[in-house]
Amino acid sequence: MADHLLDVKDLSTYFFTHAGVVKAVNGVSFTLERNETIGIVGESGSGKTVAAMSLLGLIPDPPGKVVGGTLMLDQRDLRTLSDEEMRAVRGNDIAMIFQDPMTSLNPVMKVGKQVAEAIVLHQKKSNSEARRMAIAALARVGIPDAPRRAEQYPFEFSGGMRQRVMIAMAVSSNPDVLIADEPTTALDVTIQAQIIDVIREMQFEFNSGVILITHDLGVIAEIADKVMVMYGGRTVEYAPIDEIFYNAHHPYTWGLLSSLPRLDASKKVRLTPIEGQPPNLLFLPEGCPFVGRCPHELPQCRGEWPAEETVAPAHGVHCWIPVDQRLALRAELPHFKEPAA
Amino acid sequence: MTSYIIRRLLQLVLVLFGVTLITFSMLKLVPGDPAVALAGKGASPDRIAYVRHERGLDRPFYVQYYKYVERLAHGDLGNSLYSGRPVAELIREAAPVTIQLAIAAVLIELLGIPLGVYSALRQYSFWDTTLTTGALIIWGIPVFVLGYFAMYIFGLKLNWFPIGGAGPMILWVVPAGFQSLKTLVLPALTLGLIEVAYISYMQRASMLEVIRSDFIRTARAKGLSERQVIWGHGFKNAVIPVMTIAGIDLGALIGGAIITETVFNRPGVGLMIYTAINQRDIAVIAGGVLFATFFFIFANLLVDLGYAWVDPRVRLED
Repeated sequence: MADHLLDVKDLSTYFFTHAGVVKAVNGVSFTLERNETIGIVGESGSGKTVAAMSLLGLIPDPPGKVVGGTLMLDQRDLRTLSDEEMRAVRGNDIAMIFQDPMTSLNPVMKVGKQVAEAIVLHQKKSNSEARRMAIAALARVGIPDAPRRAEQYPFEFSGGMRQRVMIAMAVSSNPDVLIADEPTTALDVTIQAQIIDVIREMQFEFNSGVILITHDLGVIAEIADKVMVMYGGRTVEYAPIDEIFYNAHHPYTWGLLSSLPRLDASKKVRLTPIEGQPPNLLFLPEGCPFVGRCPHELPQCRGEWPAEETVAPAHGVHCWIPVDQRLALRAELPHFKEPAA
Repeated sequence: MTSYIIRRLLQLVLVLFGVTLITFSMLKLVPGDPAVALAGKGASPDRIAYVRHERGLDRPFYVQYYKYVERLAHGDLGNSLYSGRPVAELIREAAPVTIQLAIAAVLIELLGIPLGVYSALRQYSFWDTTLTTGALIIWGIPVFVLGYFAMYIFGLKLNWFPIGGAGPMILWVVPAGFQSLKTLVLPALTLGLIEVAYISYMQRASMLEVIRSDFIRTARAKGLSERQVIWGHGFKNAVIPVMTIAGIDLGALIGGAIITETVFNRPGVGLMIYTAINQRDIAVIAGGVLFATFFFIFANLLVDLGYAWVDPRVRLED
């Protein structure tokens, strides 16, 4: 077995509620290397965030529980660690940036202190040393006048600046794995690009592996090396970045791509939304969760979850449609016709 | 912070203006001509006119109001229509008894904060359910019912505490000796327990909301221990709304003190106002109301300053 920085196998996280068992993450596997970025794409409720929170051991228990799989970080299975050992991993080996910077910082604590806190905890520095390092971290993520800003409170920062603070906090202990959960969703388009740049800079500086969770394929295209497409708690397709954009095999991935505007498309091509709503995770079908919304559904789709089929190097897909039929169907889609025509 | 305090003090002046205007109007709006009353029974119209002029009762409203405020500034609240004693003197005697009760009740009230946090951290556990149910029941009991109840059980049946009165004090409000403290226990518990119930309920709700918020998740993701997460990040945020509620609640505390003093026959401002109402002693009522308002505003100011100290956002808002 090759040594990966992070090797997730068959991760399953369920929530046991009064209404029934919610299979939020259902047998998800992926690997991550240093300096590599994996994008996890999917709609709300597809299990992206739960997968990330499972890695950090932050699934609220009860009602949630990681029920299966191995989470190997540098030869250590995170699932076997004690609470205390897991605390030493959080914010140190694996750090996370959250979606909404407006609510993710403590409103009544100075930002410098919020960054310094992690440094004191994981690097056993004195308070004054940690303070100095926190200011340096804030400066590194591009916050001007960092010594003064460190003494301010979150409400004195804009959204983009707060997200930089979150990043400074996350990278302050030089994490092996940096999880960014929709880091740009709550931000202006102009600020989004800056934040992505900061994340990339930090990645190169610390040789971290980055897990980027998003529903925005544009962000994925910019930064990811490989992509995992999630739907209803399952991985439906897993491929290197170019494969996803030019050789997608799963109807759901086609749907995501077709709902994106293309600069090179003729004006006549309309964006095609995916019909219907994401599935209720309480009542997932036995087979593929995309049934009901999939325009190419076959009878066997409802019965059993299809095994992974390798269609290209490092490109796996879970779909019952035979591969030649799949390619024929894809060739008919407007998104894939352009601009070859 | 300094400019915040100055701004608050300026607001205080405006509030005091409003309050004195109301108490003054109270004095003016009672039925009957004060000049007739002051001149005595069977006085001639000339005599009444003389008294009216001499007391300035024929001057315009605003002049009379000005004179009233001027007298207030000199500590003159007028005389009781019933006993003839200066109202200021009556208040000076009664105030420590009331303030002692209020302080004791606030100290008891503060117990609601740890109780609420405890409940929130063990949501739906046996103790949480017990405390929450108990709080709702106590909260629903009127002060006078709880007071008579406490008096009957702990005063008359068990004979642990005296059922009324107030003991001597040192340093203005501190009970001088054990006997004096014993007179304070039942009224303070009666008044404080209802506030404990209220505060613990609010603190529980506030804490529950905070521990589900995003920044608590951030704190956990940093690797902080649960204790650091709850006390370092959660508590301060959760106590802010409770402080606001407690501040507003001080008004209810004064109202409660009036009833409690009446129930326990404690010679404080509350009992003084109650007695004055029965005797239609309008000067004493106005003085008592003025005192209660002063107390309320002052306590609120303290709470607001504490609020600004805890929450940096308050300091900079205009």
